[in-house]
Amino acid sequence: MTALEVVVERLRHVYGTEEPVVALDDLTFHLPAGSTTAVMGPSGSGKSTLTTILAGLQRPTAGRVLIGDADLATMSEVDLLRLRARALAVTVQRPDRNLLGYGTVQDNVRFAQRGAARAERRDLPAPLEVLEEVGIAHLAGQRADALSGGERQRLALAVGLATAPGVLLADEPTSQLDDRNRDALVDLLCTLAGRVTVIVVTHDDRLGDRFDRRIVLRDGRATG
Amino acid sequence: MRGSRPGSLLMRGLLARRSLAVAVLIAAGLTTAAAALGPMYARAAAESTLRDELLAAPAEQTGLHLAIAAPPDDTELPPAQFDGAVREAPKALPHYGRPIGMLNWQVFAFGAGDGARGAAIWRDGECAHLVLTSGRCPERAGEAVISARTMRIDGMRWRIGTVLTLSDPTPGSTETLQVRIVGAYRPANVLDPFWFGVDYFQEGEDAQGNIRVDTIFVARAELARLVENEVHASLDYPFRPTSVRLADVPALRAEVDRLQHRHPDSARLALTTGLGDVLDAAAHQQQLVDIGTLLVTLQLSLLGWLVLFQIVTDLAEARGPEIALAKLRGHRPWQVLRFGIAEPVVLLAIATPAGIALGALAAVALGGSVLVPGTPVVVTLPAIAAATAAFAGGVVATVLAGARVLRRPVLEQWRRTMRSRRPTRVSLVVDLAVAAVAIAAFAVLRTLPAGGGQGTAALLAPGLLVLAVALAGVRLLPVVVRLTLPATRAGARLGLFLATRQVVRRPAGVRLATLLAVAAGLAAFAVGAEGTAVGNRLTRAQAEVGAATVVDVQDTGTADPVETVRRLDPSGTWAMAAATWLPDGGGSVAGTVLAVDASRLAAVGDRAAGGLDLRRLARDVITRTAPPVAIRGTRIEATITASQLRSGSEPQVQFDLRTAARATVSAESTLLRTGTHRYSAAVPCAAGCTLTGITWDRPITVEGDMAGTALLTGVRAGDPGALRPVAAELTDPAAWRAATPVSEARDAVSVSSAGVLDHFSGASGYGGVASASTPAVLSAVGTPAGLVHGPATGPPTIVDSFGAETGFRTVAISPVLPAVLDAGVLMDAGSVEDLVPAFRTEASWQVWLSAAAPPDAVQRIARAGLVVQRVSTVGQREQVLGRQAPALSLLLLLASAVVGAVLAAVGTAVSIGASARRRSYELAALHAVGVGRGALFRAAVAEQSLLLLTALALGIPAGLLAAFLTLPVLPEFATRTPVALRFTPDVPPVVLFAAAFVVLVLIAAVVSATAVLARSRPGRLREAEE
Ligand SMILES: Nc1ncnc2c1ncn2[C@@H]1O[C@H](COP(=O)(O)OP(=O)(O)O)[C@@H](O)[C@H]1O
Ligand SMILES: [Mg+2]
Repeated sequence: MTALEVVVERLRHVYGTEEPVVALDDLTFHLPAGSTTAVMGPSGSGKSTLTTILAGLQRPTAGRVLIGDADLATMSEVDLLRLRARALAVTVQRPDRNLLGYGTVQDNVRFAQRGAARAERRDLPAPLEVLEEVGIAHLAGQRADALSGGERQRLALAVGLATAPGVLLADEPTSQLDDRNRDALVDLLCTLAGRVTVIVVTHDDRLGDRFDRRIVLRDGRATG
Repeated sequence: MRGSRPGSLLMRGLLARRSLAVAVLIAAGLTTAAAALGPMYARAAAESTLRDELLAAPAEQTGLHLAIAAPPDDTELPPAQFDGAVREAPKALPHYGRPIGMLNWQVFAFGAGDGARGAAIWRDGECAHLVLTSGRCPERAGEAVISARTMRIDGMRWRIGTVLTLSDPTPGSTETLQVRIVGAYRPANVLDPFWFGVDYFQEGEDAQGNIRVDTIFVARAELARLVENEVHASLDYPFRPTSVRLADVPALRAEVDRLQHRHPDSARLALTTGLGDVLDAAAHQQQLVDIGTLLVTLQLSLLGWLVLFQIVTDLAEARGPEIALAKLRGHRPWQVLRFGIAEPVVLLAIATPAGIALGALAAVALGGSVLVPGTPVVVTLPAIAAATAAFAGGVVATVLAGARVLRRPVLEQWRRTMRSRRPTRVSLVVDLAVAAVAIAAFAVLRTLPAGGGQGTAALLAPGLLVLAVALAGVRLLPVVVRLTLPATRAGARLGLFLATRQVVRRPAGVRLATLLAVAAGLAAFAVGAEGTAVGNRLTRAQAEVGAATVVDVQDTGTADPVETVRRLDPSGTWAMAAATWLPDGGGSVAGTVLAVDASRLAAVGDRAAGGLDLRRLARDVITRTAPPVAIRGTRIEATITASQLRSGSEPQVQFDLRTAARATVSAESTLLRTGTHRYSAAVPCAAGCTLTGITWDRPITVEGDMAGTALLTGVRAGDPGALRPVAAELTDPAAWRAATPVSEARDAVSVSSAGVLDHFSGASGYGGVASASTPAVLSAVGTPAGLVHGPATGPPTIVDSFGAETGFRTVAISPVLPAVLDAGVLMDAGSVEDLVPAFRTEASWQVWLSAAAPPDAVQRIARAGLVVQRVSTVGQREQVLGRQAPALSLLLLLASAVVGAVLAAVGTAVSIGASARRRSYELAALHAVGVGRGALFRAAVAEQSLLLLTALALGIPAGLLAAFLTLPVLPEFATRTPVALRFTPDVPPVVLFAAAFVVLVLIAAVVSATAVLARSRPGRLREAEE
């Protein structure tokens, strides 16, 4: 699959009705296909809310979110699932939300590929190929929860790439990594440019420079 | 997809959650086992009850009796045609032994001396069932054997070599046979099925003085010679009860039915059998077992299902993050469903065959402990169907339990703080509604008539009541705990505070407590009910058997059984002679007469619960006021002073004696003369006799008034020339009385220091004096149904088979009596023997042994000359009662309740384990803020103890209450019994069970608290934070 364009228009998200909290307010941006972007901002600025909306895990209160031609705000649940099965790869932060701890490294890649329709499976890369790409092919038979932090983040990336997505959405992919590992992972993400549209959510300011663009959130609005 | 990878991922998942997986396996396995056990156990139990019914039924009932009659007028077939008829009869029938042919001719037999009535019989193979005491068996026509007892009859002098002439007593019959006696026999066992329930050995004397002798066995050829006499020809097919299995029954019924309707026109063969009734009784028991097992199995399966549901809910919850991950990865709904339920379904699939095997093992174990030895346990189709249903139920539980997790949005799963919600209002209403319905159903069940299938439905009642109490009680508990909370908080008892808060807050805790309460309640009921049932079986068995051991013996006609047993056990503490006798109709006894050596009854017998105390019974029936007057020798002599005699009509002095063998003997002396004289007579008392009285007998020449006064002042006995005084207590007013007068005779007897004085008179008949050792009238204790309550026309009487009437007095009424239960009359054996001449030979004699009897008591009885026919014990009877359908259902309930308790314990362990992780955060937090490990440990133990003790506090009283309310309507036996049973639960075993449960619970609490604490390291805290 080729990289997909991401368009966010006048996005607004409000939590609760009695004491409403405005998490995202009139957010608009446009990410060309194959670009790399860092979404940054302090705690409580709306990063997680944006991530879950982009991942199709919750619907915005108002506004449009386009991934390629698909409008996430109005799509059916099943279409959202189909989108995540192929076009949109999501990598979240906590290992137990991202990986099957008891499964092997290879199992986890395969598990990610299960959602793809039968006809599309031919187009998917072989698991070992993906693992090779992120540099952990030698760990294919290891249990996921036996991996080190760096290996785990690489596996998370491999799982994301397993469906050859158009968009890769990664939440804090470098947390709990030492500098060497973090740099290696960012290098890896940058090699994806052109092939996949990469969106990395992070609170680490040092990462911003490495990507094509940066969106800094503050109180639900983009500030830079 | 790609190879077997999904399978290995599944295996890794199961391995990672092995404790939960094992719990599912155990719960599903036990539930499946419970479901499969029901049908297998019911089948085995039905086999067992069938066998018991067939074995318990007498041979003549299960056997086929084929009477061979001649067409067209249904008269008896001339024996010459017997062979032809036999050829027509079936040779061999499945489940029946070789037919026993018989020819039976009622005859009058003359030999040397007096003649006698009797039967000349050929019964195929009879000699194998006779013990020849002398000579041999008849081998050819013209030969016969008679009983050893017959040989001893005075005045007949039938011996080996004597030729008997047999003739038909029917008027007009002329045919006779001559047979030579070649041997003497006694029956090996009159109860042998070979005799088909007919007593061919009833020697006695009828009211007209005719002697009836035991059967004269002759050769077949002998009777076959007859052409015109009424010889009854028949074939008896003995049943082989041990060859019949449940599966054979339909074919057997059809075959018997077919035979019964064969040859309807010719009526040559008329078949009678009671097998149908026996099979009906067995079918009734089978129905009871089926209903009982179904109800018990349903309850246990339901309990198992709830536990399983609890565990798969925990399993589903544990897999929540993975299911969210599957959705995050865009798996389609059916894939998510498959991924979500694959693990539990695989576990269920493994558990199903394991459960069937476990069920079969349990059926074998249960069956082996109570059922007829050798009862097969087979995996039946219904068992497999039940196991399959259990599997399906497990899948349903999995889907229901997983539904919430499967439908939960990804974000909600992520946000999920593990703090559970409070139990909802809706579930409270549902619980209370279910409790109300259960109470209503319980009330309806209690009104059902006991006995029969409806009574068995009462097995459902305890489950319902326990469920209602558990549901309502567990809901009330939080209220109680909340009310006590402020007080707890104020105190320093932080542990208890934490524990109570947990119980109040967790709906899972409420569910768990309910389950445990139901399990504890059912177990309490089952333990209490089984205790009661065991007690009742003993009570009933004791009443039915009469004593710890009852030995049926054959009276060989020599020594008196009462005297024999007294000699056997001079102490009177462990053996007692007894006899049962069915008097002829027309008297005042409707049931069976039980005659016992009453002086020993209290020491040897067992009380029939609901009846009078044995001491009281003995006192009531003993009529003897003086010891018997024993004499020994060949001559007796009395000193009598007579006056006021009417010359020409003096009575003849006659000594009335009873020999050691209890034969009545009269010895005539001379006519009574005025003045004091000695009167003597020759007596056959070398072996000892009892002087029962002296009769002023009316000589054949005297007619009209016969009167006078006789004073008896001395009795001597011994051999001629060596007479010695006899201790006759002639000055003891309690030792002598007037004899029972014959016809119009009257005796006014007074006893003083001068002796026994009798003013006798009478225009006809004769009187005399009698030793008070022989009662004037029998005393009896009867049951209401044992006595005929007609219009009172004189004193009640019993009638023997010769029509002789004997009066008796009903001293007391007892609702039940030992052995004869509610249809009988109890009397003193010696007294009955004295007054009812035919009793000795007509009654079936027994020796009752107490539990204190020596181990070789039965051998001693045999050595004492009584031929042992059968030994019955209370223990055997208890066993048979324990194999009846209701007992088997109750046993299954007990076993199920134990399994249920184990299941509930597994459920608790799993649930605690599953919540350990989430509570470990809380505990770690508390630890971090400085709460000591000791307090945390106490809190963890207290929480679980509280949960389990709640269950006990609700369950045990609920179970006991259920027992109090349902035991009276719960059938314990397949048949009703008049014996008073106890319907209150046995509390001590319940207390014992509760104590064991508490210990288990505390151990479980300590172990799992340790496990919880081991995980609650402060390191958890960081992980717990977002
Ligand atoms: N489920 C929720 N319910 C209510 N308010 C929420 C919820 N999630 C986040 N918020 C609020 O929305 C705002 C943005 O939060 P979030 O998107 O988590 O920011 P970030 O990830 O940058 O820390 C915050 O004020 C937060 O308190
Ligand atoms: Mg966040």
